Amino acid sequence: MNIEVCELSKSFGDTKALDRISFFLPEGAIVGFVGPNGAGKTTAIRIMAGLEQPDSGKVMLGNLNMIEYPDQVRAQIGFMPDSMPDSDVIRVWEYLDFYARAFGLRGQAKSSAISRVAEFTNLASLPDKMLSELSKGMKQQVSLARVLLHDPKILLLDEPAAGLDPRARIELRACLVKLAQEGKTIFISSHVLSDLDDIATGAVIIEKGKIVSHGKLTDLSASAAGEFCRIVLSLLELNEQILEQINGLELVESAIKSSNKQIMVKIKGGTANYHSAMVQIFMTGLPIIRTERPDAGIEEIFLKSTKGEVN
Amino acid sequence: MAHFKLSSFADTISHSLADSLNPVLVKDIRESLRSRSLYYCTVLVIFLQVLLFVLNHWSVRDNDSVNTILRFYLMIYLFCAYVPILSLSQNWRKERCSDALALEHTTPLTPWQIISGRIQAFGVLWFTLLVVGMPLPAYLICQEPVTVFSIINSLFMFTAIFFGISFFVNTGGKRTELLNILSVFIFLIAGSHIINAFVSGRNFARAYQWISEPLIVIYFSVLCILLAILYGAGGFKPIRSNRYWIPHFALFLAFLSVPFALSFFVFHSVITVETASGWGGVFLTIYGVIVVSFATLANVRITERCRLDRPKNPLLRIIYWLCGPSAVARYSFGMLLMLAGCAIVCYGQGVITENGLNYDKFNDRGLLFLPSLVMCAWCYSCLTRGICSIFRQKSLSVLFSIIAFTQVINVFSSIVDGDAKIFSLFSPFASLFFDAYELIIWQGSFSLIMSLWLIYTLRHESRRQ
Repeated sequence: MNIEVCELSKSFGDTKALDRISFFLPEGAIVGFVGPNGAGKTTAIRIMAGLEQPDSGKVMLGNLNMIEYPDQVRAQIGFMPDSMPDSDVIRVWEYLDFYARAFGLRGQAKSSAISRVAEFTNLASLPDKMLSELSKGMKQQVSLARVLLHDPKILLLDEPAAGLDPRARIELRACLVKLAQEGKTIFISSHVLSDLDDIATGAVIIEKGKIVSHGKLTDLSASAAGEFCRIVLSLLELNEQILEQINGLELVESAIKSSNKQIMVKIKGGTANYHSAMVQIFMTGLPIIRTERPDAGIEEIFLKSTKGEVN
Repeated sequence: MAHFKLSSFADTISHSLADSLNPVLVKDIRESLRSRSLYYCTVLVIFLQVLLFVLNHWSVRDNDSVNTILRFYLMIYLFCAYVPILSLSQNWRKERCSDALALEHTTPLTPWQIISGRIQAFGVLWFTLLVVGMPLPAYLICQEPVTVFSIINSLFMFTAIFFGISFFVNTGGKRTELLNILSVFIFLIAGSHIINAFVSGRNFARAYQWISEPLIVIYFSVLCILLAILYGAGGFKPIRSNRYWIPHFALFLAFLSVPFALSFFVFHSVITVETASGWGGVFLTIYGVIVVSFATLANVRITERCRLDRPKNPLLRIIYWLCGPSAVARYSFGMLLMLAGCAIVCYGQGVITENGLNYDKFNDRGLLFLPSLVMCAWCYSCLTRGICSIFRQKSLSVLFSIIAFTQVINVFSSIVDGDAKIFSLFSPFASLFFDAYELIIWQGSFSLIMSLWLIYTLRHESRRQ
């Protein structure tokens, strides 16, 4: 199921949290929602989850308008906040049981749904633990399990990796990739851009309540590459003299050592000068054994698109 | 070891809760079962009963000693019963403050299901505590004549007060210590009335003779808060509505200025039962018509704004179902319904005004209770909703809500008691402590503050638009 956000606006007092934002999320995509602090990410996600009323605009899930048919839409959406707000005096299975009941699951359907999500999120060994005994990472797993209980077609995740250690992040990423393969549309708001780099197929970049850039990651990357054209050179040997030689070339803006025998070269004038720059580099006769041209990641797209201002 | 046993007990119950139960009820029961206070209080109550039973059995039995035992026991018992309930309502507060409640709203659970689940949870807990705690009082009371009605009435009163205090106090704020102190303070005031009524009154069926005016006020305020929560839109959460401030403003004027101005300039005093006949009755009717009309208008407007196909409020849902998509038809029908309700209430007032208070005829007027109750609760829930949508600050909205509910209390207390100052505008509590002149000053000051606040809010809203 796809999501279309049209002209969404929301104000809190004098602060305009969202200013007529519009974007489209295709079915089965993992889309990163990035922006500086206070850009309006959480407000947008909360409106999409039905927790806030927009001042104007609409959110369409397939053919359903979120604002007009909140009950029908809720059944299709799983919303995961940045931390799990709930009672600490109940057990993991009781927590999942409550939400399974809330989503109308009963009897065998409820039991199998709980088993399914517990297995998927590696909680199978924790059902009898009290929520208060869980680490932050485990709580996020429980939260993800809760989101998946009613098998929603769309997942709205607000900073899911916040406060997680590297291992938990990797596990979460793996879970999200699996879910996307099942056809779920995943919309992730995150500050940790490297987390999105590996899994996202698209990005929506927001700043000061306005969308500054959105689309497929490949398109955004190509667009960003216009300014950030880079080449990674692998050499047989690498020393200061070689580095100086490359830095001295006319079309090279900068060359820095990226690893033992690798140099990251930034080309002046972007993609337009790529071929000329490569000719210049090879003409030096340096022992180059491999060249690589990495795409611009979300981080670069983000840096290019935003100015770091907040409302 | 003790902890292990308690956990096992809680787990056994937790596993056996049926699927058909309200999910919120199930969750609240599970949380309560893991509360230590419930176990400690239960054990204390049982121990105390055994002790006092033995004491009563071996001591010289006379009325005074029985009364003393009963009084002592009830003091401890009420406190022991109150602690777990307070703990339950604190869980609700934590849910609200930590956004867990918001998460519940992302599920298909309706606000009505959430509220009713909580009330059911309270009922289960309270019933359990009641069963555990009642053998001794039942034994002592049964030594003298007692009616079933008296027991039902006292239980109902206990329930309303306990639920009302614990829930209400925990709805209003965030600071646990402050809320606990406030809660216990209110509880002590209410509890002392309960104990006195229970011990001294004995036969509650004797036409409420033991009920004093302050007690009626407390009783019905708790009841009305409960009803308002049931009927109101989303409890005390203000509705962020900016567009339709004109009907809200009119509603505010109708609610605040018109009756106040008329009562001051036309009758030169607050309206009481004595002045409610003749022109007073006409005024009351006009007042009622204006208030309920605008209340309905505001409520329908807000629902339209939210673009809800199926409003949460059951009565509004009926209106939508009957009238279809036509907004005019909805307004008209809603107003007709409200007018009918208002007429019933006014008729009730008229009966009292005409006949004065006569407990023998209570049953005739008793027929008016249910429709009056429903209509008033509906009417004031609409008012609350309108008020909350004007005043976005939660604390102020709560304050206004309370003021609105006290209007309902006035109507009921006048029906029951016949001696309360009906429509003493904003506070029956004030009418207990001030005379008419002071009351007008009090209300005038309050109105001024509210008007200033309204102007501020509207200016703020217009700047935004």
